[in-house]
Amino acid sequence: MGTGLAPETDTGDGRGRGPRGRHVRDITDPEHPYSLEQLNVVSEDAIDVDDKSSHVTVTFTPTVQHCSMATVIGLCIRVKLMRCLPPRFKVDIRVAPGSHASEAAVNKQLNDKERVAAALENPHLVEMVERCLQEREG
Amino acid sequence: MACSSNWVAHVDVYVDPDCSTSKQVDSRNAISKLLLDKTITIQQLVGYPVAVSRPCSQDVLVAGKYLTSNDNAIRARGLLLLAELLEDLANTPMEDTAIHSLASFFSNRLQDWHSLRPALIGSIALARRPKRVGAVQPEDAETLGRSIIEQLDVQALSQKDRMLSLELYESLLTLHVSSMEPLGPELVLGIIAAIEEEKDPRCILVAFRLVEKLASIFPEPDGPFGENAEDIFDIVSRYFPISFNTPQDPRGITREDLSSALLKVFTATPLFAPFCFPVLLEKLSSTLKRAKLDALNYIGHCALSYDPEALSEHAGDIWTGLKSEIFRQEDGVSDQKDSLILEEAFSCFARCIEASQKVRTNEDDITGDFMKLVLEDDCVVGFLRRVKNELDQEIDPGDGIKTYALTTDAQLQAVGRLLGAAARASCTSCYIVTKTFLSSLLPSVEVVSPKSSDHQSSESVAAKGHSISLEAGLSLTGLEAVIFVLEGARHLANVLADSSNPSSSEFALKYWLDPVILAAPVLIDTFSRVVASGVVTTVLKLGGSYVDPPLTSSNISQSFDMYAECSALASYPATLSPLSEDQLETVLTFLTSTFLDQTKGSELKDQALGAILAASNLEEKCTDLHRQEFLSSREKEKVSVLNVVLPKLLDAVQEACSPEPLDFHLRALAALSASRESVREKVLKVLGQLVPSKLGQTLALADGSFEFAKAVMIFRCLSGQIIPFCEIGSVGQLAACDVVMDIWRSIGSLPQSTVYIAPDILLPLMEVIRVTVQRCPERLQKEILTMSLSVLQGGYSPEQNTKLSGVRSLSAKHMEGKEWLVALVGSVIVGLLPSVLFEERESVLRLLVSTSVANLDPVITDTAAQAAASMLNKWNEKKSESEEAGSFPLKEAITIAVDEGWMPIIKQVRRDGTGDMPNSFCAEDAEKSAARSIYALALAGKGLAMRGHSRIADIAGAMLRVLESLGKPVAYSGTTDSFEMKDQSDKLTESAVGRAAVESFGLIVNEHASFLSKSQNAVIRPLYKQRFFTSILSPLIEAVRLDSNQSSRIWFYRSFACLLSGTPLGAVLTEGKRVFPLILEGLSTLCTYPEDSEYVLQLLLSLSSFLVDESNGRSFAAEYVQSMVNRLVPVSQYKSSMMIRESALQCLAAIVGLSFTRVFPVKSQVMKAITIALDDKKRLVRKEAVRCREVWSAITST
Repeated sequence: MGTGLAPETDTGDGRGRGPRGRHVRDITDPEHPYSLEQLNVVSEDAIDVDDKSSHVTVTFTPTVQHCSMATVIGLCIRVKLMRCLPPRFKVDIRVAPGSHASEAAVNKQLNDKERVAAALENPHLVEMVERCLQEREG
Repeated sequence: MACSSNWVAHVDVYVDPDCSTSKQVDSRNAISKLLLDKTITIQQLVGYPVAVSRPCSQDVLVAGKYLTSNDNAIRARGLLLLAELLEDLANTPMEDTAIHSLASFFSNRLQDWHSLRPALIGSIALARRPKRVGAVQPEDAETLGRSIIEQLDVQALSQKDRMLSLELYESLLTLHVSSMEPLGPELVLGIIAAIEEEKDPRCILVAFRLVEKLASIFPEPDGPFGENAEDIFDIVSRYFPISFNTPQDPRGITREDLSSALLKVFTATPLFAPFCFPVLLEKLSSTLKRAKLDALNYIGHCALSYDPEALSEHAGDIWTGLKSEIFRQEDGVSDQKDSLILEEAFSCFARCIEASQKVRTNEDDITGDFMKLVLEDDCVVGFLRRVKNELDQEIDPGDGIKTYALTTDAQLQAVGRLLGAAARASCTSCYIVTKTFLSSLLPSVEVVSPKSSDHQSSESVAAKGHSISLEAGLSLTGLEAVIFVLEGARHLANVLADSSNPSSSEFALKYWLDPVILAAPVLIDTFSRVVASGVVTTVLKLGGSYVDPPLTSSNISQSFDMYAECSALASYPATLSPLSEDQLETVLTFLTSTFLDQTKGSELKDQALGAILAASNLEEKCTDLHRQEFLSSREKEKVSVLNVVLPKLLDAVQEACSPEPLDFHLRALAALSASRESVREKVLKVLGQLVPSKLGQTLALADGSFEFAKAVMIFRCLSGQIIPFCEIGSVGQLAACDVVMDIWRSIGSLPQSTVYIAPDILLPLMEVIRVTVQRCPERLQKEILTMSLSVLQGGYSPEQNTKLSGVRSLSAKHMEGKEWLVALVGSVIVGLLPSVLFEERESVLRLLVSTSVANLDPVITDTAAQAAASMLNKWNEKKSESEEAGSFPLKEAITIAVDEGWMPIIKQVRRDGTGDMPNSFCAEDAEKSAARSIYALALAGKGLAMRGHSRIADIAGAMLRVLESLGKPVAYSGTTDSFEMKDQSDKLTESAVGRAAVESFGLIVNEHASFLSKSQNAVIRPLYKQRFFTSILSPLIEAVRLDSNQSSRIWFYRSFACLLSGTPLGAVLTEGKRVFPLILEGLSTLCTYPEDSEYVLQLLLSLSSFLVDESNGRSFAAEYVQSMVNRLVPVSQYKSSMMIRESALQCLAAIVGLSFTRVFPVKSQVMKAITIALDDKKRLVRKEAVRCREVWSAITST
């Protein structure tokens, strides 16, 4: 289970900084039984955390140019981070430049508060997101 | 037949597809029960005769009707019923005719694919029937086999059906081999078809077993298996190397399972040999490390299980493959995988050698094909030549080594390891290797090592630079190779000595160690010179291991020697050991001097010590094995660690004059005596004499002098590492008792003026006494006690060694200034058995009580209190033999200790606190002694609680009253304002009384190793903790209820937390109803005080144990969800402890599991609290917060 936190506020305990991306690496792909990390959709380098200004940017790479699940993956990442991070953080989620056919549309959809809220009112979508976020055994 | 209609109905239900599954299972179980009870028979059920090909006759009964129904689904259900019933009847006898007709029925059904699965299940059930309950007849089995071969295309079926088909094959091949044999080629081809391209791991496992069985059924090369061996191997070898990446297979199959199953297939028959080695060698040359490892492993095992002829054909190729593996690592071993591969390569190499020597063509040629290859190999020859010749001259690059450029150290080392591996493979190869190489390697070593030491001494290293290091390096390589070879030989000797029956041939037994024996003198000489010269650091590093092998192999061969004598080989030459006694002594002396030498590095010392320990363990093993024959006659005069090393070591300890070597020597002694009783005895005897003889001077010395520190170190070593390991009743224990007696004797002879003894040495001294006494038998305990008491009374005089007739009084006044002596006696008393009686116990008790509250070092007072408490705990109402007066009952003893000893002091303080406060100095003293009394009283309470005495209630009551008074002192005085009140309570938090009172309950319920425990022979009634907890709970709750003041309640909560820390969970949970509110109140009170973190944590732990207890803890907790959350939310932000924040969040997460209606209303409150925790500065807390938030957000109103 890869929780433990991304924002780098660890200054006091001397145990070093927790790896970025602990929260998102274990999300399962909507189409495969693998995690996003295994599929190289997200990696530690593609996550940028700015603790001082409370800002997180996640850049993910869909597996193929026309991946129809890109928005769902992005939504999963957003929901997961909403649940794990303190509310002070602003989260930006983007598709890696040039990795998706309709990059701009996807980015716009993922970072629009209204659209995300609307998406989360769709029971089918929520069910799918929940399935992806389910913690894997072991 | 009432039941008949009954079962018919059951059959109907089962077959009816509309009925629910549970109903069907019920009815199946009902029928099965009827069958097992013999109420109905299987014939009745199916309607005998079973309709196979005939149309249904009129008397066919219900089930029979279903079996031949035209509806596919119903037919399958009917058949499934029959099959499952057959499974249930697996151990019930059945008639042969019934079995026959069932068998032919099922073999017929196998062609009906609609009902294939039930047919398979039924067939398996039939095929697995054991003989005693009626097995399938051979001809029926054959029919069944033929039918499955002809009817089934296994690979076209679903996984489940494939599995069943393979299992059917397996049962037939296992239980009906004779009827399967005639099927010959068809069977083999059928199975080949069935297992080809199988992907499912479960089926693959069965398939592997099938191939293995086939190979054992048809071993001949021209049999049906032999003819198809290549095809079969082709199918099987595709799985090699097994790559199975599912980390946790739901069926619990692991990669190792599959790999070992495949290995069994590979080694199943030598018929695979021609195909197997090429495949494995090809895989070996791949770049995958996993494949390499597996290939090496398989080659080794295959070589062992195939014929030597089969091996010899491929020996050359295998050797080439192995060689390239071994020498491949040019820059040494880079990572763990690589070193694993190297290990595997060497063990594979050893297996190949062993395999090739199994069959010997003639007597003279013992080498074996493989070994020959090695001996003649370029790189080995080149290595030898290089080591031998090129020391004196410049390296000639054109010579011999060309083929394999032995350039790097790693490669040179590899040759050495190779030879070592060869030496450990078998007796024969060991003989060859040692004979061939030792003689040629040793001279080279000899030539070089003194030479390089010359360089060292003349300090011309820098000047000669390159060439020296090269020469030294080469000589080292040679040495290293020798070490590897000798270690191999030693390993082999170990194996031989451990195995009870020597499997090796007579030749091997007699001669295999000869070359080592011959080389022994040179070896010893060389090694000692190398180590002594200390050429290079690497030599130093290797020093220990250099010396180690000849020594231990010598010991091993002694054991071997003895072993041989035991097996009554009278003509056996007694001089098998490679070392004579003199030589062994030389080696041992050398080793000892090495590690006694101050100038040597600690690494080398450790190596030397390791070698000695190994030798010592071997000696012990030998004496264990041959105790009767050899112990008495040989042990004494023989050269051994005991006789050579130990005296030197002990001398060194005696003469030690600085702490560092002494520490090392003592560690060595402890290590040596850890496993050997005889060593312990000797060590104890010597050290025991050493210490008491100088005790007088030592005690008189001030701290800081070395003699003083030395005594402390020796005592620590004795009590910590030597005495506790003495077996009860052994010689070692007797020696330990002697040490203690000696100590007492020397204390007795101390001049009267000795009044002070530093706690630094008192503590280790007491520890020695305590550890010894607690394990002694009664008689010895009595002896020690009598001695100590007479010393205490001042009646001991060294001249008479007996008690003076007049027993002087043991009053506290008399003992003033000698309290340390009381403490020493206390350390004897703590460990006594309850059955040990002594007459002065009344006065001793008084003395201990008064000492326990005196204003002295805590070491003394605590021991006195512990001793007093153990006296009360073990008080025996019986008269001691010599006691003239009437018995002294426990009741009076308690009066002396509790009512007259400790209670008044405690009361005094309470009065002081509430009434007029004396001046500060006195108050401090009084408070200290009160704290000691509370500690002593708590211990006495523990002792009484353990024996189940009723006075514990009074003591507990007194404790409660102390707690009660703690909060109040200033409130009563009336004159002070609130400012001072705060000041006062702060001071009390720190105060000794407060702490002692709070911890007293914890003291009673917790375990302590050094007093009042099982090892200290205490009287312990079962469940005493539970009883105490239950009895104290009501008064405690009552006291809390009556106390209206928040700041004084806090003391009760603290002590309650201490109480919880030791009470078994079961007792706490049973009292849940009353405990739970108290925990919550305690949490809300204590969480505002940062200094109370340990108590808060304890309360949280208890709370969480309620939350995880399914049986009744959760039901208590469920009633308090709201208040729990109210308490936990502030605790989750507790500033001063991360552990507490973390546990609070864990508790919050556990609350979610409680009843939904109670949990849901508090959701928003909790979520808000967790949001703050999400931003915690510790990562673990944040992690816990995320988890907690996840579970809480999962509960929704829908």
